[in-house]
Amino acid sequence: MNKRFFIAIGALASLLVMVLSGCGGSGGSSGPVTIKYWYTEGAQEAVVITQLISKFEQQNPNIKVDAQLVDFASAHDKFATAAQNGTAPDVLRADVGWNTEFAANKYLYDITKYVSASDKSDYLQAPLAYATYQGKLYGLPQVTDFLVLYYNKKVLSSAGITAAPKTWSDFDAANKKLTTGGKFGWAWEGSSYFSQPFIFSFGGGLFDTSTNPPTPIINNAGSVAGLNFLKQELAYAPKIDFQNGYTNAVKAFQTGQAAMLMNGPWEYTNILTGSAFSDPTNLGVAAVPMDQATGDVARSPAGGQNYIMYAGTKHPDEAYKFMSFMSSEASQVAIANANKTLPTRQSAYNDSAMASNTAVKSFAALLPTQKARPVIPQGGQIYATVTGFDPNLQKFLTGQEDAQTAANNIADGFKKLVAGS
Amino acid sequence: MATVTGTMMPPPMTRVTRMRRYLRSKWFAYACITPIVVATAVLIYYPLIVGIYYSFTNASGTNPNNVGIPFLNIPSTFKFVGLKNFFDIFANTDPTVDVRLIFLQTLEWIFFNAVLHFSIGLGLALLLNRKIRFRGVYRALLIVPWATPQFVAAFGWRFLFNGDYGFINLLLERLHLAPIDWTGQPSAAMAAVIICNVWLGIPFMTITLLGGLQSIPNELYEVAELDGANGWQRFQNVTLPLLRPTAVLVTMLDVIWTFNVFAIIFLITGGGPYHRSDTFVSYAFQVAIINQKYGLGAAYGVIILLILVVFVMIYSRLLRANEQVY
Amino acid sequence: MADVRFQHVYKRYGENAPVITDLNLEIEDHEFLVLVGPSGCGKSTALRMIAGLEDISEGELFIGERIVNDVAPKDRDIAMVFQNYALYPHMTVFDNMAFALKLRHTPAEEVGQRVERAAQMLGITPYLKRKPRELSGGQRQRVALGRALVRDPQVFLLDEPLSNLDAKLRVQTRAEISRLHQATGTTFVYVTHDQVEAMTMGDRIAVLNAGLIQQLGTPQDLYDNPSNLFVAGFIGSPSMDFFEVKLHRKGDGHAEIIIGQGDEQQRLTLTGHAADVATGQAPGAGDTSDGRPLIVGIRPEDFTLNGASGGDGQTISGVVDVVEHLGNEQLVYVRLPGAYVPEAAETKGSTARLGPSEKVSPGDRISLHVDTSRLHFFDPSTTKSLV
Repeated sequence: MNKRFFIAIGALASLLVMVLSGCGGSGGSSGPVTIKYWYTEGAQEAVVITQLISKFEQQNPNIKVDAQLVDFASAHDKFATAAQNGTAPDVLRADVGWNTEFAANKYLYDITKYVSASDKSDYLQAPLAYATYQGKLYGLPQVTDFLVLYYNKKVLSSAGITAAPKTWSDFDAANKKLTTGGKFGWAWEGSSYFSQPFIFSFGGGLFDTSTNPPTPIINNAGSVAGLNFLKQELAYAPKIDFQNGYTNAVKAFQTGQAAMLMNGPWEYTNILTGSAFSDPTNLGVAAVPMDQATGDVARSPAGGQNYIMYAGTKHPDEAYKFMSFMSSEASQVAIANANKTLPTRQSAYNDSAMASNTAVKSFAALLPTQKARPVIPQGGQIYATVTGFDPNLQKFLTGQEDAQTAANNIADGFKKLVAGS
Repeated sequence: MATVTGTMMPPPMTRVTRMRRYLRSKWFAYACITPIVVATAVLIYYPLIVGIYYSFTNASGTNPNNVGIPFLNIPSTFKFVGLKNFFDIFANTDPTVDVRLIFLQTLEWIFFNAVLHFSIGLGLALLLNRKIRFRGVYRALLIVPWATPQFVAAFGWRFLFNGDYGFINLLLERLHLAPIDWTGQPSAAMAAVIICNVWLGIPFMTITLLGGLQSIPNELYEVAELDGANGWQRFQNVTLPLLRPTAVLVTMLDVIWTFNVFAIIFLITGGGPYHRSDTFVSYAFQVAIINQKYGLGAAYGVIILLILVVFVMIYSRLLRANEQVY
Repeated sequence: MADVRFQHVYKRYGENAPVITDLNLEIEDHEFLVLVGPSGCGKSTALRMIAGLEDISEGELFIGERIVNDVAPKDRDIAMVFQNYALYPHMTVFDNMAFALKLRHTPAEEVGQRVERAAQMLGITPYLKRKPRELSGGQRQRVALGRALVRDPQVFLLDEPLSNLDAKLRVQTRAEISRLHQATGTTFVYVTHDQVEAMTMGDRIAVLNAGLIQQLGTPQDLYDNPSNLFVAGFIGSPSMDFFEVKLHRKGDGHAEIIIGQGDEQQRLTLTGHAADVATGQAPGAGDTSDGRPLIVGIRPEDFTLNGASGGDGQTISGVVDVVEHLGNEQLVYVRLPGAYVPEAAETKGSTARLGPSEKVSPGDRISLHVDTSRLHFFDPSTTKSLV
């Protein structure tokens, strides 16, 4: 009897331990504070990030950073889920589109009190706007980005094209010359985000945010004209694989299969690893072409990444210390020099260590082509399947729907999105 | 008990004493099963009930449930909406997707997988049931797809299906055939996910059917041969009828598993193009997790649960019926 | 109806020693031939060769006048009953029996009649609509017989058909099969490891061991004149008792055998035919020199209990081990000197079959009178019988 009693008590006790160990863990220890950080850079880009983290840990022996690489594509859903059950990291590198959404959902810590006026004024205005929601600051901009036209100088000049296409009709003419003998004028990624330069440059857009709720304009004449032009030019691009479009397009450009590509600064270092660019000077960077009739308007979707802090953090001071270190002038310069991405601080551009960074210089010159995305709580989901943006684009590109029908359907999806139903 | 108690009756047992006596004799058994009961309740029943509850709400990514972070003390803002989610599904109100098509695609997915699993599995089982050279090697190789995790297999096939750089299209090109638009063409996309799932499911089918074949006594084939049955007649009159109980059960299991497959569809085609290779299960994931429509996603989950309950009822009935066969 | 002939038939699997070696056997038309032997002796292989379920490695097999080595089983016009009946579990009794006829496109009416007739013969008419799983072992056995019967084959093959039945049913079915043979007049080839079945059913018995026919003959012939030690030990239950002995020729022209050695030594004076064999007066006796080692076989029923202590040259004595009372007789296991146990023997040690009224208990020392004219002699080196 005694023996059985102890076995039973033992079983119950071990169960209790299992349950408790699942939810306990972070007691008030007096030792170094650990900050959990999720970063989302690609493998190539992440090298400098881990270097900066160890530098931070050296400077702050009382703060440990538990940094985890999370795939960019799944980071949004992962954070949203973790934020609800209390397991989210203290700091996340988030796409600018998610910033507003997470802030609206009260997942984020309001860091307004930490940021001085002078510090704030050093940030570029567009990136800072993405981090602001209802007048409060919920993130520190890390990088800003937009799409540019990459081109293969050698291939263009041997086809008799002396300068990068300035207008879409230049682009069309170049494509016609370049698409020959199994080679293509350009390569396209095949997803909604990359259709935006076409939508924007012909006078279209996603939302008119001057109304409340924002009104979709994805189906206005300019947007539809852009979509039609996109489809026309796809005759000069490799056939699109909707699941692997992004990597296939980059690969086609890297290997010289395609002569032009619209992509962001984040892909710059990776493109240079391609066989067509063993000589890095062969890679040309130009503005996304413009529509002659509409004029030189902002047409390249602005994106970027912010450091954001989880509302449930137990160590906001330490977490902010880490965030501000990572977005300091020195860190931004280090990242820009390593990855050729664009800093978000004016001072970083003026930093002497940036003097020889020609890539960033050439990107910086194109900053005026940036067009900000709508800063709405649902911003992170504009490109998700919920709006039908990609599915309808696919229907249009495969000839199931004409541009206007597809655009109308996307507009319906947008309407439902902002209505929150 | 040999004391002289005479005719004294034991005191009448009250409910309490009966209960106490019962507990005294059975407490150890209850103590032993407690951990399992608690674990099941926490891991299975609690989420199930919460999921069913969500299916009657408009919970979504924009009105989240913050009960998980009590220290934030943010009240939940989602509302009870009754059967609205179910009405929305059955009334097909979502402009971005046609639920009827998803339903048909689910049937298509199950049908082709089950038929191909069975016919290819049976063919291989018949081959492996013969005495052939290197039979052991073939059987070992057959386990490979089985031992491959679903998502690894899906990534592998995704490479093969890549429109520009995939092995299959490169091969077609080499043979001067038109490449297949695996992700842009609805039927090709459906074929792609079915091919991958067929590849994954064949081993289980083959091994199970092989077991069924091997349990058929050899004398029955001999007696049929003496009775004058040729190879096809022996297959028809001995193999098929005796394999039937195994085949029916394994097909039912296959239907259940196939219905539940999500990773393959999600990773290879993402349900695309425009949801034309989605099934209920893969689409429900998109609704609930990617689109963050938790309430609507939970409603899909409940529908899926009901369908599975029907499947499992059929399965257990077959299982019971099978015990009496032969 | 036909005879079956094996001519120099061999069966080999790969490079191993043949399972069947130079089998020559003629099974006559209408005959009930039993192939008997221990497991692995090749009897089932021989049967399956007749059925066409095993290839013939070498030699020829005739059914009637036809060489059937390369004839498909279904074209041999034979029917076979398997040890575990091999009924189609998903078919009714009727369909089981009718299957072969249907495959031959026999008109439905005729199928019905033939099944009906066979079912009546076997008493399974009430079960025609049932599935095999609803039948008892004995009923299934009859269905298996019936299925063979409706085919009206030239040769009926039975492979240990009774071994899955209990003892009582086995005896009943034994008689039933014999009756069936008489009723059909077909050639029956019956394989069993049970010598009782062989003795009770066979017109002739072929005893097989290690792929070789040891002896072919009528049951009585095998019992009375076993051609070697194997057959002598295999046929008969309880088995023949064997002794290692030495032949001693006495000066008076008589012969005796010396059983056991030293103090245990006992002597038996030979009489009758046994004496003729031992002294070389019978043909084929071979070496009969003095002191020659021999193996002597005595059937248990050739012992009788002798009250006297012996000395007449017809008696041997030993201590009783076990007594089994069978009602009409008792089997007494006795420790006797020089006892020899061949491999195939069913009973180990020496057994005497005594009348039911004899008073014998374990531990008793008893004297057994031996009918010395009925002794069997075997050559220890060749194991062959000395006739």
